[in-house]
Amino acid sequence: MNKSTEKKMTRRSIVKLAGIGAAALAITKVSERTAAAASVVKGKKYAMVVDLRRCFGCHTCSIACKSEFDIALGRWRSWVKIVEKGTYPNVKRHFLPRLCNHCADPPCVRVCPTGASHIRDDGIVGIHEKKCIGCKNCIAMCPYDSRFINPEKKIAQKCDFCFHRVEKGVGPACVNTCPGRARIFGDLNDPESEVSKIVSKLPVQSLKPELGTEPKVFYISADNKVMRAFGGGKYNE
Amino acid sequence: MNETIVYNVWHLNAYGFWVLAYFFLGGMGGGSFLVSAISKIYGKEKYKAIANIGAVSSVILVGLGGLCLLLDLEKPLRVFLLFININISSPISWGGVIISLFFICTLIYLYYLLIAKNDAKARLWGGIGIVIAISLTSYTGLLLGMAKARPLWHSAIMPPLFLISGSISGLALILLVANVLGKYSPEDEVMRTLGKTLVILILIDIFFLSDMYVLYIGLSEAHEVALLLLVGKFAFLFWGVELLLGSILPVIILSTKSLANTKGGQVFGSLLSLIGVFTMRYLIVIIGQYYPLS
Repeated sequence: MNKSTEKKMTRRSIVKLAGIGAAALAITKVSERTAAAASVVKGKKYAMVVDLRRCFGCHTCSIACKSEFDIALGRWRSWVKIVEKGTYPNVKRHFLPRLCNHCADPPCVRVCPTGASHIRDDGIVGIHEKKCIGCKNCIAMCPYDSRFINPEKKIAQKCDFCFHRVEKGVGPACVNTCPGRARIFGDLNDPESEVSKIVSKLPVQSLKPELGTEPKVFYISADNKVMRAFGGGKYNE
Repeated sequence: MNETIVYNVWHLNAYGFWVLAYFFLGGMGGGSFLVSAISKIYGKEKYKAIANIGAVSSVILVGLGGLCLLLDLEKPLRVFLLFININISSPISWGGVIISLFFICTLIYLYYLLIAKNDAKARLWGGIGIVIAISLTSYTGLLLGMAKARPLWHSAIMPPLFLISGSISGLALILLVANVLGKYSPEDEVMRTLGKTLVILILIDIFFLSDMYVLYIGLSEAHEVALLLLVGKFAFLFWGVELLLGSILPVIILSTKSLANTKGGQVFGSLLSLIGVFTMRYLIVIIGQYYPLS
């Protein structure tokens, strides 16, 4: 800085400069904080939050999933369970979008004999298509009925958080398409992500927590009985 | 509160006919090997025919059972992956190894028993085979027991239940075949001993049914499953066929002296206990998956 400019410095410019400096300082501080957080927990841990206050049961997620993956008739990687609760005039329909819970301790991976079902480093539970022998043990052991046999490929399949999209930086098909923005997808290890903020601040529920599978799909405002397998009432054929 | 499920997805049952057939045949094969090897190792010369019948039937049954498992696979041609990528925590992985070892061991045992007629070697391989046969009959119970969310299966009683019922079916088969072949007269001490052992095993099996009461007072899902068995849709199969026809009637027939010493009584009693074991396995496989999990 030369003398002439130093003389020209008015009070206003000093305030301006101080403002820029403070902003720069704030930016470096934020980036330092995120860098520190990232160094504490390495890697990603993908999770989904389904805000049921925003879900109106349009099944768009199920359809988007079907068109993304070419799933056969009668099989669903993602679907919406609907339970009607109460008697007239106090009735309410509850919607529960379902998908694979991507458990931190998945029973399917434990029992898979060939290692076809596996946990990726980012927490997604995936299936190596070429390793699956179709023994169906994972289907019997999954506590959430998320798995099925693909009748054409003859292997077990389920929701895989659309990892082929996520790896390219796009959200899963169901999240991208949800008109009510009820599904929120993100990285739990990133403290700035919407998902980790919601999971740490809001009361969230997960399916069958007593089994110790630690699901990574969380629900906001889910009804206890709707989350149970029997849907509150007895199961009728 | 009044709740109705308006829409939900239930995927198809994982286990069907072939797995049920494997459970029945594999258990019977393991059980008849146990009877054969025990009568070879501890029995006198009189038990020779029993050992031979048991060894032959166990090879046939476990071969058929393995075939059923292969047919159950959606990708049977990839079965070799079972032996390349072994997952130490998976009962199916253990099963692949156990069935193969058991088949090899039974063939060697059969060779020394029937062709080489080497008693010492036959006893040695019989002893090794007993360990494998016990794991063969009980690992299937553990396989089902790992299903956390299915209350009927998720029980520590499953492995011993499968071991005992497998032994019942193996012993009943040998009693049946020995009678049909006419190797012994029905009053023979050997046949009387087999009949008495069958009665004891069936009594142990009935004792295991106390698990149903534990289910009845259990968590809500377990309670529903117990109701299904005790008073619901499957009550007739459970009380009438499994318990009365398949367990209590054979015990009465085989412990009444006038009936137990006749050919008809022994054939009828063993046939009934085979029906009982099959019904028990049918109920476990079907009811375990009856209620949806989603």
